[in-house]
Amino acid sequence: MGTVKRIRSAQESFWTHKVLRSLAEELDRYYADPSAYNPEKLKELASTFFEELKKIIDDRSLLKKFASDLREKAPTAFSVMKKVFKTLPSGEVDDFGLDRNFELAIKPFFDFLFTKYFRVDVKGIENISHEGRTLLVSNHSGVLPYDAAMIKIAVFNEHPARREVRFLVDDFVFHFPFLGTLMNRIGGVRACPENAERLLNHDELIVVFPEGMKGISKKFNDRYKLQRFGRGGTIRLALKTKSPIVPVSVIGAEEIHPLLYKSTMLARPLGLPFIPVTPTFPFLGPLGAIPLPTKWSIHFGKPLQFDWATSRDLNDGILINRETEKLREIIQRMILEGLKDRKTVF
Amino acid sequence: MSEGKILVIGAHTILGELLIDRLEAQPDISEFWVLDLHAPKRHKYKKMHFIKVDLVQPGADAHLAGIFKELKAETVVHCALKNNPSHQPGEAHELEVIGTINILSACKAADVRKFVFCSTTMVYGASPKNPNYIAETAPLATHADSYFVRDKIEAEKQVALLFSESPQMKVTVLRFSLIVGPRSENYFTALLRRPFVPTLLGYDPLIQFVHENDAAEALAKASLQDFPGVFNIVGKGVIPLSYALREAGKINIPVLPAFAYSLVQTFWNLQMSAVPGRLLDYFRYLWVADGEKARRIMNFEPTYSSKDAFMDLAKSQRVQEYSWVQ
Repeated sequence: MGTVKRIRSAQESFWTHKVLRSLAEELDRYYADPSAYNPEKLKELASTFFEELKKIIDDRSLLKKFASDLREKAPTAFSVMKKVFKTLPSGEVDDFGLDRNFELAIKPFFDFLFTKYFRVDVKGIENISHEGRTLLVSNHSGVLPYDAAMIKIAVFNEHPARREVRFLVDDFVFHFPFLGTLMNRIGGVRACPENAERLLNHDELIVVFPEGMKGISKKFNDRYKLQRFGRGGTIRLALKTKSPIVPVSVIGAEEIHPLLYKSTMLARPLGLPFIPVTPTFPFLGPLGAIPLPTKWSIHFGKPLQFDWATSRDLNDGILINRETEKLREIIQRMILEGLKDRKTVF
Repeated sequence: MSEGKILVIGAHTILGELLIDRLEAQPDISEFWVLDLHAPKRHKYKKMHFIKVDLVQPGADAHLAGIFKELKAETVVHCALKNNPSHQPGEAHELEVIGTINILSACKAADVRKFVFCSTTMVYGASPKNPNYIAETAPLATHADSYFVRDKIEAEKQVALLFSESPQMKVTVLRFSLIVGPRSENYFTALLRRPFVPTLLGYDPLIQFVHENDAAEALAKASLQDFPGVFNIVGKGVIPLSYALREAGKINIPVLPAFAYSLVQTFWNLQMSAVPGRLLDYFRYLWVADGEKARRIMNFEPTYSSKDAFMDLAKSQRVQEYSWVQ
């Protein structure tokens, strides 16, 4: 019984499709030359189709079949996802190891963080030029480098040129399995002058965090106090490649993992720079690694030009130091202004 | 183009073979000399003169110097270096380092005008501290674990002494990245001959190839024209290791890095692995070299990108397997 009914329903559903197709064909013909077309036939077809549809809607089993048939034909979220995962291991990387397909596949997660979780406000995106080499210099905070990811997403989503931001990653990341490869495939390269210079000479947009590890491992008491800017490597890089620097301030990242204590002794055998102790980590285990949903704002400042640099300036330690200090003050001021405008942490 | 007698040492390495083919095809070269233990058997070369020489024999340097003087050799191209890590590190060391020293002292004694040395980009070492593209000025990985790499570095150091000791001699060092193609045989192509390829779990380095035709082109250029200095000879671009294995249709077996080194070394000792455990760093970290200097000074433009070169290798291996089945 059941089999016969299933076959009949399949046939009927098939018949509905056939009617639908002929209806579409007639419509095409009508569209091509309306004056020469007799609309009676179309009307007849349409009425039979709607009668069939009524019948299908009345019979629930037929409706289910029809719906599943339609779903097979139409693209669904599932089929789109399947397509994404098929292209996921594309392996097509650029010269620095960035895999655009992989990046697009994991982007929805970071989009969620950007729009829903941290609710990032972006200001001054117009200060980044549409093309050409640019150096973004930002404050660094929050134990885990969410700030780099959010700057990347901010530029990609808000900038009209959809520029790709590359970031320079500390060495220790590349010692680790998965992490190093992952960072490389989403546009990170090892932080060294050779890489930065090469990227800028390729007219790329890169973000650097001159505070480095000192910035990301700031204790909660020292939040929003900029640390020393390395040994002036950033300014030397800008002078050498004559690239403009866009100062960036990130507000809100300091509070995602309030760092109470850091242990460097325990971290040494693991090859990590430090082990953080926050109100939630390690007491809540892996749950403690979830950042607090603070409200963020990212501010891109006016670009500083370094066209005036000569090759002699590169060896002028005092000049480099002065420029570094100037840049640090600009970013510190931007942070203070951002904090003044902020109404609440969350 | 410099007019002068060209001597090629090492006829059985891939670079030696390729260079001999090039010289034979070159219309403005009337003759050249090849020095090795055995004469090359691939073709009947019309322009070639073969001289039997054992590089590691005691007194080989005096013997070589005699040959160089007698022929009034102008250019010496040293290709007699191993493509593959050896199971007898002692013998390999003799050939790589002592052989090179013998050739170098013979060159100095005979006042050879030009010396070309074939090295590899492996001398930079694989490390997470490498920049994405290593320039020729970068320090060499003298602390390397592998005998294979250490011998190459030792040989390069001997050659580097030439720059200061005999400034009148034109010395060219070519550092080739992995040479792939239908004819090349090295540890990487051997690895791809098996259906299963072990990889290190969580590591997927970018790797770089140079096609054998491009390598031959660069070597011929360096032998026939004067480009003193050190040059990286590499293909354009990079591909991830995982992508290469997938394209070649290999099944990769991820192994935990903590066990992989000793495991692979054991397999190597049992002659069941193409690479010794000590070379695994090269499948873990970056060692991609920058070909910019060769492009600028030697005007060397590779026709194959890294990806194309690898595809050519994969294709030739498939064809070979197919003909075996037939």
